[in-house]
Amino acid sequence: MHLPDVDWEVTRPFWDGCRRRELRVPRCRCGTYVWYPQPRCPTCRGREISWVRVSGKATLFTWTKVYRAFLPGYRPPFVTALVELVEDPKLRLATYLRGVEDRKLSLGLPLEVDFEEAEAGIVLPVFRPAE
Amino acid sequence: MTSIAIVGVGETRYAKRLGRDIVELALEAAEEAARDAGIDVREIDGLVAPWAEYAARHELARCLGIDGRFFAASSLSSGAATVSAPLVAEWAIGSKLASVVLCVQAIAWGSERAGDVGRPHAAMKMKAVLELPFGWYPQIVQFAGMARRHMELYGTTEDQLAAVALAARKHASLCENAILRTPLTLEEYRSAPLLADPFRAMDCCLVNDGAAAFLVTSLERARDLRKRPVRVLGVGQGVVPGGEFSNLRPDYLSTGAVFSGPRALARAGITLADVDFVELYDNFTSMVIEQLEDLGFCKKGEGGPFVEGGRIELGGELPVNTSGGQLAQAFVLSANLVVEAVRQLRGECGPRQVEGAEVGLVTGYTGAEHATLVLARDR
Repeated sequence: MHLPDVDWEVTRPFWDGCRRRELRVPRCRCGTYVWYPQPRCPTCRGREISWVRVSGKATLFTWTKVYRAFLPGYRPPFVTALVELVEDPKLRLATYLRGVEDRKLSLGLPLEVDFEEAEAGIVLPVFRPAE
Repeated sequence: MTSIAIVGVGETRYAKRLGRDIVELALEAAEEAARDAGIDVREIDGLVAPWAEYAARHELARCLGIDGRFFAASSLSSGAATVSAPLVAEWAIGSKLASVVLCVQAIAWGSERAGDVGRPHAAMKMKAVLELPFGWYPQIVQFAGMARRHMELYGTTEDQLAAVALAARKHASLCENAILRTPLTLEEYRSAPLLADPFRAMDCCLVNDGAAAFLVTSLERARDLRKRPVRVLGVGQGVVPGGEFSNLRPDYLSTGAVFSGPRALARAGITLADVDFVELYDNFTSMVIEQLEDLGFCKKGEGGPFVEGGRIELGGELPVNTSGGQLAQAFVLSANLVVEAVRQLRGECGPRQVEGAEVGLVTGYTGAEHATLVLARDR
């Protein structure tokens, strides 16, 4: 599978957080979440953006079940999805869905983050149905 | 309304693999377009070639003998660039930088990219770090996500996606230069394996080789040429917020057609009711449905029912992608769609001719960008 470059400085706090089993996203001092990371706040144009921990709770925005390995290393079938973090609808993350039967997939399904070690030092955030 | 016209069109043969260089393909399409117009290739003094990198673009200019005096540019990217190329041509002609402008796209992805779909996207670091590790890649997966949400929100069905694929294959069966010429049945569609739910192979555009070209000149000049000119009534461009990251778009299920469509129609001075047929950028079946909505042929969410019952087939209320489009004819970044629209407006389409075709609308798409082109028979 395709592993992320966890050392890329733009997103390193995200992956560092995952290693500690924490979901972190960038937020400007003015309160705006800045996702994906970018150097200026789209609301106030400020540069004081820091990474904050979020709850890891989300809802299902959309998904697709993938049956074909389009790239080497992926092991279909799997369900890849976009989830919306409860803190802000702008916080839409691509992720894997785990532990949801196909017939239970529906928009707005409550989810929570879980972490899977893909390789030493690389931990992926995935989402499961909320308890 | 603009004061330019399309006066010549040309295509190579389309095939999965042609084993030829893109410059050679572009050159052939360009020469064909010149022949079609009755213009000497040496008269071409402008080039809009968004298809190629710097070196290939200049190699084409050298082969055509227009190096040294040409205006080369592109506006927007890939499919959106093709469809907005007449706008660039209009600027060039209006400002006397050029008088006969060649617009061309050439593709050899069938030969080059087997097993390497979506490479340009993978090259974007943000996608490589935040999307690829989660299998949210390549384009088929991302567009399947859009189609899925459309289905969940609006009740769009797999059979409605199928209606788009079936129409494309029916039209391609009537087009000599189409790659998939066998009609498709609903049963065949339903029994094909899912690749990325809800998409099957027939929901996806082709990956092939080939080139298509068209020549633009002033309407005044156009009226002295061999073929009846096809007027460029209007061109519109649109860019959606969220940029290249489709999954961040606030309006996730809308394309830039919501902007480019009204702009093109306003410039053209017509309404959708005047449009006799459309050629829509069909990278996936669901994108035809979304663009019909975004352009305003129906309300958001009603694109599914809109494509049912043969309405988008030849003989229906609004024929869509009359040559089979990029799902069944060939994928040439909308250039084949422009060529088809021109031929329809000249009445040259034989068994797939839209009767009384006076006005056609063509779209081009790429990521955040969209373009709409309105063409009409010269009266």
